[in-house]
Amino acid sequence: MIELIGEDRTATGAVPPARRSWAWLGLVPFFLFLLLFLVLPALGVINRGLHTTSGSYSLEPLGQAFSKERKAFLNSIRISLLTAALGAVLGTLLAYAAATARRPKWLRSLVTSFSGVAANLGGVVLAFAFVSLLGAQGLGTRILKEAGWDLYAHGFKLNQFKGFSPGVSTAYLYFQIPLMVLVTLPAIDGLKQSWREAASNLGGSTFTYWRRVGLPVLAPSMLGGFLLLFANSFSAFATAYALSNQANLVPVKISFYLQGDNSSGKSPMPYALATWMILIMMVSMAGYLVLRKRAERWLR
Amino acid sequence: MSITKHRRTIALAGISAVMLASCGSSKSSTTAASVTTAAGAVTTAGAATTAAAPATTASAATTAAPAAGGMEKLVADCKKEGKVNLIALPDDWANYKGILEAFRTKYPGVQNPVASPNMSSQEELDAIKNLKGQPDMPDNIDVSPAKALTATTDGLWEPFKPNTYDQIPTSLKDPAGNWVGAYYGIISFGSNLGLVKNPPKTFADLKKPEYKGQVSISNDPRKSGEAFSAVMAASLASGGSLDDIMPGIKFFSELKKSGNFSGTNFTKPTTLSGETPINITWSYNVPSVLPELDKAGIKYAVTYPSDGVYAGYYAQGVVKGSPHQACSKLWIEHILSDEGALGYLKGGAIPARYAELVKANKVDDAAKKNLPPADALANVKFMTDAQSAKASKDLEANWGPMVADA
Repeated sequence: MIELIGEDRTATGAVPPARRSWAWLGLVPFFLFLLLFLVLPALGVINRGLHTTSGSYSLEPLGQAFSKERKAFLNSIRISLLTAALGAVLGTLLAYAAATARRPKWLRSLVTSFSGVAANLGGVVLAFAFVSLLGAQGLGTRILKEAGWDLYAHGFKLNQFKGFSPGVSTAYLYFQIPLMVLVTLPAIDGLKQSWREAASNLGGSTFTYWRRVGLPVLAPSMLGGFLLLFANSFSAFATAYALSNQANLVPVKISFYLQGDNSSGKSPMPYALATWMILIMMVSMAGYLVLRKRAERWLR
Repeated sequence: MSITKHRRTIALAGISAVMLASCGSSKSSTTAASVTTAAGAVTTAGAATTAAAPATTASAATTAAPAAGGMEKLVADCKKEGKVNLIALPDDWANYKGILEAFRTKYPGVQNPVASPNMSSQEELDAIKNLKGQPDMPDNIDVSPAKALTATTDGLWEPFKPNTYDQIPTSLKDPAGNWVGAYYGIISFGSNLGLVKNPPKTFADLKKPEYKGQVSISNDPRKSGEAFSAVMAASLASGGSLDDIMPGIKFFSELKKSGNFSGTNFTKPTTLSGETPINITWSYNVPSVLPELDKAGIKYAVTYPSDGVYAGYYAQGVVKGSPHQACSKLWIEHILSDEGALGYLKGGAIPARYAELVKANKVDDAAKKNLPPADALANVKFMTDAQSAKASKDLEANWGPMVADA
């Protein structure tokens, strides 16, 4: 078939001969990498998470993992919801401010390049920075104390994982807000000046513009960003672990069962927990991709 | 009690015979085996450390002769290997820095790199499994008694009895020769005097409101021997016993509720920065940090809780199937030699052969300056395998719900 068409075209002489493209070869290393370091390990984890200690297939480990580590799931979900919501709102506001501020020209590039760095600055470095700032003897803690406000006397604790875990939530916002800026900035750029003019020509106030035009256009991006942030926070490990090796969060629990437990290597527990995490990640990332597709409609 | 000891003697005789036969270094395995059996009988009869001493030295003298050729061969074999992979030995821990240096000076050309100095005992066992068959697989480990037991169950040890084996108190060695406990210490409190006006002197003191947010242990007690021992010491102070760690877990649960418990990961940096003002730690982990604390302008006090005197050892042994077997055995010989023992002593740890060294006049007052007070050391008792297994089990079941995740 293909050859026929090719012949046809050369016959007319309008288009150069369609030759088989070898460009896809460039993708081979990428897909190989994906297969070896993402797909296969994930399948291995899920497989082990679905085996009981005696070796038979069962959904039981999943149920057990959830009921035994209920608190860890609750803590993780709470922290992720809180930091995703705050991150989404604050990040969008920051992105909007940076996108619309015209005066200092360098402002926008400053915000975007800082966001690029901060969004990736998780882990031990970030935890260290927060301990130096808000630890029991941190600089910020000392300054606030001098100013008459003793954080620690009010029950604040950087390494406490209970309720909304104020310490770790604050630390997470450090990378959540910048990530949101990076995600929503293109969408905000997509808000065309002409739409606003059109709205006011038709007698709409600023409020009407935002309610009828601005927010509906931004909503998919914001929701998508929220889901991305949720997944980002849910899967964060090193920051929490560095703040406390006993953090009661799902990723830290996985590492505990992998190496802290005497039954290590035999129990399906860490794999079942990881399977839950993979499921949660997949759902939130799928939601993110769907919403991003919707959002991109306005960017064309 | 006597039954276990009796059983141990039988096991000792049987296994040492097998071992010596398989070692092949001694010429007549039958005579050597009978000598060790005699030594075993002596330790069973005598109480613990000093009582059996004259008899043990005598037997040590007799075993030393055939082993001397073995030692030369061991050194030659190790020189060929050129390296021993060590793991989880922090420089500040019981003066390991000095002990490691002494080994390199004594056996030039043999390297002794230490991987991941701050690993916990459980992580050491994981490293053996994860690095199996690789050139950097650990050759020798230093783990808590509880994890030594796990290693025995999992078959990770290569039994080896050093020349000094007979001089080690019974409670500090495995009858089958899987491991030896080269040193021990007691649980102490290190307090940063800049932040702690009155250093706590007892576990009961730690509950006082003035220590809010200040008390920390070094790691997760389910993983680390030092943290485990802090809980056990707290138990002894709160009505528990070596058979019962629960009061200790309850102690930390209350400490967490009152806000006094600040966390489970103190390190040298957190001590220096003041982030962890009161550390519950081994008595031998403070002396090597003192100069640095001093340099940073921190006044530091060490107190030995009078209500919870808990002594603990760490078990060292050769890892089965690791790449440098001869050097690993030589390392065991080194840490139990006079030099090794005096090295531990310098760091404030009590070497297993302490009584032996004192008798031989090798310990002067300067060498003793980092030791805990003699009265604290007078009545130390170590956990038996059964006690330590029970405590680990209770801790694993209850530390999460009562403390970590509460």
